[in-house]
Amino acid sequence: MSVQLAVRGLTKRYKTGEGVTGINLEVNKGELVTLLGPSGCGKTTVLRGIGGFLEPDAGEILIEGKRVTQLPPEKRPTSMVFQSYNLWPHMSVYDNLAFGLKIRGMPKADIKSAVSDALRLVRLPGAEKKYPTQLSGGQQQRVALARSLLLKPAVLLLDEPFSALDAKLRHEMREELRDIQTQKGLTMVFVTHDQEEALSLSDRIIVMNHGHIEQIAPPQRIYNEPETLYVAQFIGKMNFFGGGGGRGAYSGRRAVVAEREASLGGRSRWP
Amino acid sequence: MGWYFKAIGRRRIIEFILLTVFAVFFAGPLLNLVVLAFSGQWTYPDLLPHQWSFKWWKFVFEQDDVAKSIGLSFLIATIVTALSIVLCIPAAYAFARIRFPFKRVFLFSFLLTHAFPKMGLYVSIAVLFYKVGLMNTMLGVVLVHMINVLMFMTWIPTAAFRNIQAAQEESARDVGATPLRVFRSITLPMAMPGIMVASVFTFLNSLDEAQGTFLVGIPDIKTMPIIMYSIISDFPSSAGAVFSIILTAPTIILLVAAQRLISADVMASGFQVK
Ligand SMILES: Nc1ncnc2c1ncn2[C@@H]1O[C@H](COP(=O)(O)OP(=O)(O)OP(=O)(O)O)[C@@H](O)[C@H]1O
Ligand SMILES: [Mg+2]
Repeated sequence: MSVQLAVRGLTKRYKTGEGVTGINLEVNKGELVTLLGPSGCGKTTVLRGIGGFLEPDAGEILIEGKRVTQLPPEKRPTSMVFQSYNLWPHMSVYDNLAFGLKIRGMPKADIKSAVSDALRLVRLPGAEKKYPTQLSGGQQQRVALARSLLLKPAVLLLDEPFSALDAKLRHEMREELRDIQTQKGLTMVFVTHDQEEALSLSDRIIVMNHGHIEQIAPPQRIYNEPETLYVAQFIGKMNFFGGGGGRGAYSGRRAVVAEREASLGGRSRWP
Repeated sequence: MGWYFKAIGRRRIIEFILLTVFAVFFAGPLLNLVVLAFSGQWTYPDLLPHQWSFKWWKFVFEQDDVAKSIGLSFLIATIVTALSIVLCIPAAYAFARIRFPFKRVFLFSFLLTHAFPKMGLYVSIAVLFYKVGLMNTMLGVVLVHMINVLMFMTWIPTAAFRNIQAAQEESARDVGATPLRVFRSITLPMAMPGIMVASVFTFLNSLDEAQGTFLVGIPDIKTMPIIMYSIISDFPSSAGAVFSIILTAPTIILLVAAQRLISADVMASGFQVK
């Protein structure tokens, strides 16, 4: 399998002293990797670094073996779906989707069919004439996804694209995204702070903490063999808080977690 | 009858009366103005003139200065609007996006032009203009008008630019637009309502400006409001009525045209300092 995206020693410190340090990661072609970590740990910073929206202090970014570190976003073969405010409210859905294709000089007829295909793919057929404000939050994010897909990026970047949606819709969108990804063989980096989302969606998970990477592994390994106490706790919390249940069920789950954490003690690198 | 008033309630009646008073207060003089402008003969106790005519319209348009002043006013207003756009829109963008020291001080300095009595400001400007030979020139008048509009021509677009999210510009970069293209296709169109509102204000303000024009433009630069003074003082009130309709017409037309753009939102956000 070929490496589609490589980040080597990426460091970015903001004036406040916060940021990320020494980020190393590789994403294979057709792989969906999630960046997982609590709020403020630097996930967006890494993603923006890959997309070209910030200038790293140090490090290299390679896409399909080519160095893109110095390129501005418009010259990179990446496409990003932001957390919100993706769409341009003064343009119809069609114009939103066609904008990038027009810049690439695609003939009008081709744009038209490509746009309607993309809308069908995100299950919004015939929405061309609508304006973003006439769409629900979930529909807007789907249009944004369609816009990125249309450009056939070498790496698709998604920054918590579904975090503003309710649980049920988030679930559906996740499934849809996974379908589209396997169908098209897309390479994706997906940012989330939701452990469950990461575990259910990814080929591999990158767990981040306070500006650095704690562990990179497939979901199963992250879950079963966390390499650090931090990872164990961060993934473990899901069991702790996850699910409602009655009093009995709660205390039962709590016991299971305690047991699991005890057994982790031996396996963890931490003393 | 009594049951009827009881049924609709005291509050509604008061509302109705207030509304009527309000309408009479505002529409009354306007209506009187229109009637006056088209009256041939109108003697005191009659409610309406007993002769309608266009004679005062003819009279006003036959005055040489009048036609000239209308042309001049619109020319000056156009120049003022164009120049203010060129000057203030980039400034507004800078205020909204770029961090630089004393930004607030700059933004507030525009407010300063509205903090003092206008006449004082104009007199000091006139003194300055006198030294550099700008008195009685078109440029001088244009500059005076621009000082008037500097504030809202900067503040309203600043708010409009500020309301555009960084992600909206960034996603345009992301799909392949150069910074220039982003400004042209995304930023500027999204800020357009705010810019339009400010421009309409600027245009109307310039059409309407009398004090500064009088002080700096005398004796040759005679705009509509300046001519208006002499017509009112020299001729019967009917001529004045005709002229004030001519003066008001562009305002009403432009406001109706811009009505869709002028939302309370744009106005309110124009006067926040963040
Ligand atoms: N432009 C900036 N200037 C200064 N500090 C910043 C800037 N952007 C982010 N930071 C800081 O850098 C750290 C990492 O931010 P980042 O946005 O990458 O976090 P995140 O993991 O995406 O969090 P979240 O899940 O809340 O989106 C945070 O502590 C944040 O305060
Ligand atoms: Mg983030």
